[in-house]
Amino acid sequence: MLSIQNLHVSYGPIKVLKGVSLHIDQGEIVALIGANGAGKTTLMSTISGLLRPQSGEIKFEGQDIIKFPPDKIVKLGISLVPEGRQIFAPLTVLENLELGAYLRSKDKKGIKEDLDKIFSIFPKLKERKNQQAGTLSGGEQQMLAIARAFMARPRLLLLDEPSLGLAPMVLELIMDSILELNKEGLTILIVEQNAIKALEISTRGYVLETGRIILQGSSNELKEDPDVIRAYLGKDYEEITER
Amino acid sequence: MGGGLLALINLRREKIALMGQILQFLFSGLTNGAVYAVIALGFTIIYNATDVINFAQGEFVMLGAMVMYTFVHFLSWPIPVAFFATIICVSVIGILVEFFTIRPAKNADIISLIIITIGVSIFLRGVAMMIWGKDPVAIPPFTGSTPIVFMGAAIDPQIIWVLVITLIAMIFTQWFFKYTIWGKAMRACAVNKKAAKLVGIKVERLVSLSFALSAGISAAAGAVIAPITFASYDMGTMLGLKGFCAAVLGGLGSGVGSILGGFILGILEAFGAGYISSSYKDAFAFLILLIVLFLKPQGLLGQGEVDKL
Amino acid sequence: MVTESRIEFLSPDAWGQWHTELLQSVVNRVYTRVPFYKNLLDKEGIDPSQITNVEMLKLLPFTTREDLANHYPYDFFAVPLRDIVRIHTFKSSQLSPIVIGYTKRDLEIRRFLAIRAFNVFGVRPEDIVQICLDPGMSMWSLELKEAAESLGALVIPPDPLRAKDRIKVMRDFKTTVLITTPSYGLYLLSIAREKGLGPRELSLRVGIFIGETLKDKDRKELEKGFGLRAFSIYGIMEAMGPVMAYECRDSKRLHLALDHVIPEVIDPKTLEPIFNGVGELVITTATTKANPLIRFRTGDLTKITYNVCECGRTTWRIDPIKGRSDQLVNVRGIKIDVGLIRRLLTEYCEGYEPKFLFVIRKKEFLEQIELWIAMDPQIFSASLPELHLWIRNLETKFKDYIGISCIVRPVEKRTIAPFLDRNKDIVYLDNNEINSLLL
Repeated sequence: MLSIQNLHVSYGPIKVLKGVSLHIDQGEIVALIGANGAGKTTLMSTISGLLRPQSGEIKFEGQDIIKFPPDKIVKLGISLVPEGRQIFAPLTVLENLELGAYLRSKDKKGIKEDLDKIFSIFPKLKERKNQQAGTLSGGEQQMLAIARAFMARPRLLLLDEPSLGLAPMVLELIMDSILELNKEGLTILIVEQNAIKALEISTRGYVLETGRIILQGSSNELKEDPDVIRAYLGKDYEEITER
Repeated sequence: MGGGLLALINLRREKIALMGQILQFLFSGLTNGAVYAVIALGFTIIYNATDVINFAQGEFVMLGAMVMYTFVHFLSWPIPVAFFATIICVSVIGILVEFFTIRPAKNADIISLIIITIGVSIFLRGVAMMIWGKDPVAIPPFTGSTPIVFMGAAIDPQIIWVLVITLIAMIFTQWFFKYTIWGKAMRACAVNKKAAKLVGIKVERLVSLSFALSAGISAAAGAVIAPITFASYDMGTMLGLKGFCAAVLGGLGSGVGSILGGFILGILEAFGAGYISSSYKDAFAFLILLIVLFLKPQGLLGQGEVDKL
Repeated sequence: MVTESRIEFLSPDAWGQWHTELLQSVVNRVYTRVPFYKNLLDKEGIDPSQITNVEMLKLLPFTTREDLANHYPYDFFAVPLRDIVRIHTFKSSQLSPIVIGYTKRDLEIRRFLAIRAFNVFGVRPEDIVQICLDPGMSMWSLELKEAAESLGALVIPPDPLRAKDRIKVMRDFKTTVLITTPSYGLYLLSIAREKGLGPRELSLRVGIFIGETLKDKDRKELEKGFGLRAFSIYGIMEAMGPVMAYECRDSKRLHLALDHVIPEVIDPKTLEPIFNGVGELVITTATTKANPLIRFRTGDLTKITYNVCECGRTTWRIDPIKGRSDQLVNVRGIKIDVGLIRRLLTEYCEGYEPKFLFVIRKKEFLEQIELWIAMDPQIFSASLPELHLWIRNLETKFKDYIGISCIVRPVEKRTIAPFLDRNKDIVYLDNNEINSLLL
């Protein structure tokens, strides 16, 4: 569905991604894990057209989308839930959702259906639909951010750090809803610092380390990979002979 | 100052009925205020979409008056037709201004962009002078010129038009932002450009739209005020500055604030000119602006992101 | 979604993507973690990001068995010993042995590859799997045994039984799957025939042949004689284990585990890649965690076929191994390094290196190896018992060193001179040739 080859992205003189290749197949949940500053968010921004890569290839369903602006990428069916939610705080919940469906704002019936679907997945949002989005709690804002992206009817959903700053209970709720969206047929790429959480819900995973992918595999095997666990716990070894 | 004002009022009490005079000032204040308010709204719309303060805003008002003049005087179009044609025409000019000046320089910093708008304003004024000449021109009032006497005050019917049309422009703008998807998109854009792009909003297109909208409502103000004030190629400069004062007064970026700012400015100016001296009329606006900026730098209603527009 | 069972049927485009990803991640991994590769790549001025696709493999340096031995003990490890659950050691022609470690996951992958092939061969939990391999191939036995066990089959691992007894067990326990080398298989077949046992008396269904190339003639013979369906598998123990490639039901070529290794074929002399011809198989192990190897030279000569197999699998296939590109000799599935023999001899003769010829003779289906040593004054001894002792000790030492028994035969210099003149120190001879030479 999405395939990326040799992606190089820089912020000014700093190379953030140094030749990243990865792919996502229809129906998968793929986790991209790695420490802070590994380049996860940069990758997401590049896929969604916010950043221009130096070189490389991004193909969505066979089409090269590397030069496409964000709106065209949304139109093709890729939506990003950005890090830190980035909801439209002064607007109401409903307005946020309507804007999610901005590119198909004429399709009133479809929007209505999707709103119903979203409200059934996130009943909290229905309760608060006329409230200013900025007044929602962190978890509700995350739900809103996901729901807003869903309103564009994407086929591929990019989730950037959905767990950031959420209480464990709320996190469970969010993860469940992600699984639910996947069951609805949505393919998902999830970027997480909370590696174990992301690997629990995903099918495959990639490990990004300072702009390079150093490991990939099924989530089950990555979850048990000592390197991943060490990275997750923030403990590294000093001597190769350590037991 | 309060004492001086009272003394002044007492002095004039014998000559004119107090009520009628106050109403007179009030109406002229409201009229001016309404125009300022619309211009301030125009500033706000573009500022929210681009972070740029468009110093060519006053020129849109001038173009409104001049184009209206052309349609009425040279083409003899009926007033309603000419009025709407003017709005469309100036909106298109607004789009062109954005397309040829702001968009090519979109990677420049804000200060450069603001300087570009100053350049645009000088350019438009020059072109207008070449086309319409230096002499002020008159546009016939929309519905005759017999004053309406209201509680002892003689009110020019055009003033009613100004109030009605600016009110419609304000309501239209508020409706646009609250109830249309483009309006919501523009608000979204003002809050968070990145997120706006991510839902598929073409920010460039919205910037065009904001210039069109902003130029359109300014043109409407220009067209409706011209029968009272005459129209000249340089009428925009002072109006633009006053509108800018009103926008800052209300808190830059806040729609309601700029409307409020416009009216406050207009009314204070009218009373100040009437009771103190009309030669300080223009100074009032800036004095008020300075006072407000000292006391409440963010403006009357500027409270950060949440209250934008 | 690509599940593990579907991966062998990926489209060629998808393979391109997988391989790019696998290659890049393994190169990134070794570059940051394996001292040997880090130094090598830095020395050659190669940045991992230059590896933009599989073709760029050619930029990377090769890894040889000598490299592995010379960087004993830790220079090839990509993980700390804490993550390692098993270490295998291999003889080498160098001063140190080769050490290969495995993480839990590495072993799981090896087992997974074996099970995947077993499934294709039709091995089922009800099967009785008998493994008949030389003690020199104990590592192979071990991994195949584990795989068959985790499949749920009953496994009879190799025990120090005589061939006769193995056949007896095979008959009485109704062995359905036989795992052995082609040559030992033929040997077993000859013994079964001696005892009058054929397909009717035996229950064999599947034969899995490893270690050597299964020739067509032998395949027919084994299939007919045992009444089984023969499959061959290919692997090397240093990387990816015994089932790096296997034969499917529709092809005599072996499907490579393309989801775990990136194979190439090179010209062993020029070291240039060959795309449509026979050359040395070179593999990059992409999923290995403990000791990932970049462009490891297997020394086996073969050819890669890239098109889709009749069975639908898109994994590339290799021809049965056509020989060796190096000094390694494959005898009954055991790889013998002539350099190692030379070292052994030099050591044995306290620094003096006698002229010798390594002879592999066909004898009763099984190859027998002999070491012919040219007599010269340095090692000559007038006393016959002393000479016999010298020979006996060398044979013992050989067995100890190489892991396979060998006959040491002192010969006249002129007997072996014609071979040595042609730069040949290994020859394959049959009984008649040997007799005429020794007369």
